[in-house]
Amino acid sequence: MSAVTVGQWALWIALAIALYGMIASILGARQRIPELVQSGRNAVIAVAALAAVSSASLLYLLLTRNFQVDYVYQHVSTYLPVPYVISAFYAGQEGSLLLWLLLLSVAGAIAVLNRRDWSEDLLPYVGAVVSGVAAFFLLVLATLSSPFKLLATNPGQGVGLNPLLENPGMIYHPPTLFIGYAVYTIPFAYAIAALATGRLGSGWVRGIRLWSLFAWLFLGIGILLGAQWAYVELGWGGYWAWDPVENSSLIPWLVGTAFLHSVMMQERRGMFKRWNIALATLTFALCVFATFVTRSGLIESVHAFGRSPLGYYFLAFLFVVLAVTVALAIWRREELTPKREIEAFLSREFSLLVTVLGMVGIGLAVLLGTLYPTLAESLAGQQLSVGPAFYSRVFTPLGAAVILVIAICPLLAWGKSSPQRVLGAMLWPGVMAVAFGIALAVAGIRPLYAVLGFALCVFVFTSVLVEFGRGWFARKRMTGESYPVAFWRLVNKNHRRYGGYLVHLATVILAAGVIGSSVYKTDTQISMRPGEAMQVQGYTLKYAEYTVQPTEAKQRFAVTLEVSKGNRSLGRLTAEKNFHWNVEQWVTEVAIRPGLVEDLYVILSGLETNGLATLSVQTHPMVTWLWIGGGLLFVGTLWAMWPRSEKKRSTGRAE
Amino acid sequence: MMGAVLVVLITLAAIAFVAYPLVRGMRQRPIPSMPDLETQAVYADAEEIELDFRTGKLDQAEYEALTQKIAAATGDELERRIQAMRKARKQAAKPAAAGAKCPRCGAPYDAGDRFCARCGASLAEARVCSNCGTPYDPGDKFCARCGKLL
Amino acid sequence: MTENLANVAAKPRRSAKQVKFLAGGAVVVLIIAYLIFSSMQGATATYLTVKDVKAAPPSERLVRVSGTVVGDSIEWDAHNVILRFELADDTGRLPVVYKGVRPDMLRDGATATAEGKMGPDGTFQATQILLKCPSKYEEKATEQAPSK
Repeated sequence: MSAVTVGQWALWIALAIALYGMIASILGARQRIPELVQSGRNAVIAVAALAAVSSASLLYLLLTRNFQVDYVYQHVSTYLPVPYVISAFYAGQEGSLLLWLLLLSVAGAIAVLNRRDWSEDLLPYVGAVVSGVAAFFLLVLATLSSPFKLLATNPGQGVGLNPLLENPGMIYHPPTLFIGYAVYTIPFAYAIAALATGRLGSGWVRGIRLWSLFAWLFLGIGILLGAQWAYVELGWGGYWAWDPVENSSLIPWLVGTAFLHSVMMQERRGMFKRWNIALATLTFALCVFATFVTRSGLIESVHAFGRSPLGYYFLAFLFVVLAVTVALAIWRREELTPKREIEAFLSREFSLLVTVLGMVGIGLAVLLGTLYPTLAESLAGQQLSVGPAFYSRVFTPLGAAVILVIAICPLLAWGKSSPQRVLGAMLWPGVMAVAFGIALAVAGIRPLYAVLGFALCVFVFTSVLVEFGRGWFARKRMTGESYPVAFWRLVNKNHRRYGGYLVHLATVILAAGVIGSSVYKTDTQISMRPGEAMQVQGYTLKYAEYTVQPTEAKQRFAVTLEVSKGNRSLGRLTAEKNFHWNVEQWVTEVAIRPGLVEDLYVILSGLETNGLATLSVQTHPMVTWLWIGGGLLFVGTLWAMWPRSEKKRSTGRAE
Repeated sequence: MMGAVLVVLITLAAIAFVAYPLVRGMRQRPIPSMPDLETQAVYADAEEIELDFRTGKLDQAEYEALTQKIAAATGDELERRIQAMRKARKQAAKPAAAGAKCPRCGAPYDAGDRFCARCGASLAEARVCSNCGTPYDPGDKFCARCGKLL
Repeated sequence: MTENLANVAAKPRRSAKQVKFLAGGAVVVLIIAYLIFSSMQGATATYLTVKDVKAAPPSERLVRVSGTVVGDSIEWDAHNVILRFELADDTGRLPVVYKGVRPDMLRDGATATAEGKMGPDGTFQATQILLKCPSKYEEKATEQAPSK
């Protein structure tokens, strides 16, 4: 049992050191005692090391399947495969919080070790904030929600993982999200450091550029992986249900997107200082809120459940975070006043302001929709729920507006652009969009708002391509390089700009996927006997065989269909529905045949002993586009993060 | 028992690590320096405007107004340097319009060309002092004749 | 000192210039606020008890009813894909009809929420059935929850 002792004590020691580190860092920075600052820095590293020790202990207990530990008993069983035993680390509340702590403290240690002359004044405060946040998580972990609680006796067998979680999605989706959540602590820490030191210039926003891109990327990919997991595993026939847990992960991503854009304003124009402080803090607070929603059950949801005092801890913590930021911002209000102002509506500044407002607005709408039932219940005593209709009504116009801004913003120059130039730049995209829209309408694609949506996507897509093209040809003209060389040097010279453009392209592909899959989804309920064949949405489904078979973990029910379209055979699909003994619960295994145009998606809803099968046959158009868009988003963000080689940077624009 | 020993060891190690700087004092290690951020920002800004101009988002007048604005806003030495370089380039471009020839190979080039289309020699910063017109070498900071900051 | 004066003098001019951009931003904010507000109307479903649902006059508004599934009342017509069951709460029992796939976790004693409206025949026409996950971990967690 020494792993339990070590794990639990590591948390207590880490808590003490985190509290000390916070005080030492602040004191050292204010009194200018470098020894104390260094000690505070070491404290951050020590907390990360102790979090690693504690995590290793938990992992050891899970892998050795020590069922006397309550957490292990709850999430592991003797027949759970090893990868899922590892994933059980974050299957429950305690382990998730420990993972948060680990990621946060490791990111914090990297941040304070990465010393640069310009960040030397900020880093003690960054370390203090990281220590403070770590102290909160440690307090919760050590007292309220310890993963090292013991049962009186060893039960010999555990409950095991919820079979819904036994999917590769479980292995990579939660950690990806958690990396995003935890790393957003660093931009927040820098914001507080900037406020504390009064160095509110562009230094701190530059310091966090990579951190916030990194966190944003992981959060975004995590959300998409979650959507994909819901789609292939949860079997309710969709990838997004506006579930509070899903929403709560989307909100910080939306606000984080606003933050990425507003940061540019401060770097380039010295504007939006207040926005940046507010958005850095909000994004972090919303990440904590997301963890809190998932883990506290404040909001009724499919996977947020149970109520415990944990909720009050989180609320108090959020309150402290916001109160400290607001107090510091009021104290520094003079320094936060922008030096420059927006000069024209047709300028990149104003379009960025619209972007920021739009993203925050959408985030706010999702937040309100998520919280509305809770607020109505606690304030008016009225129980109600907010349906997906709310989100689609808010999202459709705002999403279209944001996409339009994506098209226009890069065409505008800093300062001021002339309308003729902007209109001129929009000519080709406009022509393409109108032509495409008419083509779709003539081809009989309805409803018209979807056609409009697709045309809008084409507009943005073309305008981004035209942006690439214009830069490319301008460079070719300027330098006389060959076309491939000019293109490579162009995108390689400004990673940020062209990485950003790639992300814009990805967003458009995602938008097209969302429009296609939400407007043209079909769902047909059929029942068939073995040997029968049926036509559904142009597919011929032939009931080939069925299996009813008990295994160690489950009672398996499976139906295999032979699928063809026209004369072309598309192979066999097996849809399953299994009864898992350990949790006494049915789990659906969906059969999916993915395609670029549409996915064929078959759910087995019932199988009787005589072989009569009830199937839900669905088509989900353009869902694959979401995964393609996600891939491009990844590549684009990575490109934007990729550092330019030192040599080039030091010579600046010597060319 | 093993657990207790481990806990004591971990505690001692952690405390020792955290207290070390207080006991031993600071060894000043040099902090890696990065090119000045403000300078970088100005470069980035200038580069951005340059590209906007080249891709036709800005016309000549807007472009000049913006470049001047950058200098005015920052009041930065470096800015003035960039400005001077731009001015020099423009002046160099003027004779070019009248049919200038590449200094290396003698091929004629057009206004705004930065490299010779024939031999690839750099034309852009046809490096002459903006004040007195004396040619200078790349990397020079002051004009060798009149001493103006280049 | 002179610098301060200059600042003071510059301020009103500055803000006058900024007003239209602030107004532009405000318009964006207002549009978003209006969208949120107007969309909220009619996208919400109120929770009612079984008694209240039965008593309520027929209406097109969506309501939600939560209760426990009565095990012996579950009728699953696999051929036509129609599910019938009864929901019970402290105020009575409500027959529910749902055209769609039988949820995996629907069984005796499960906590279910049905969203839909009352049909003319006195059965509740559900458009959506939500079930609380009854896995052991979650059951334990819900037990800890204070009952409403």
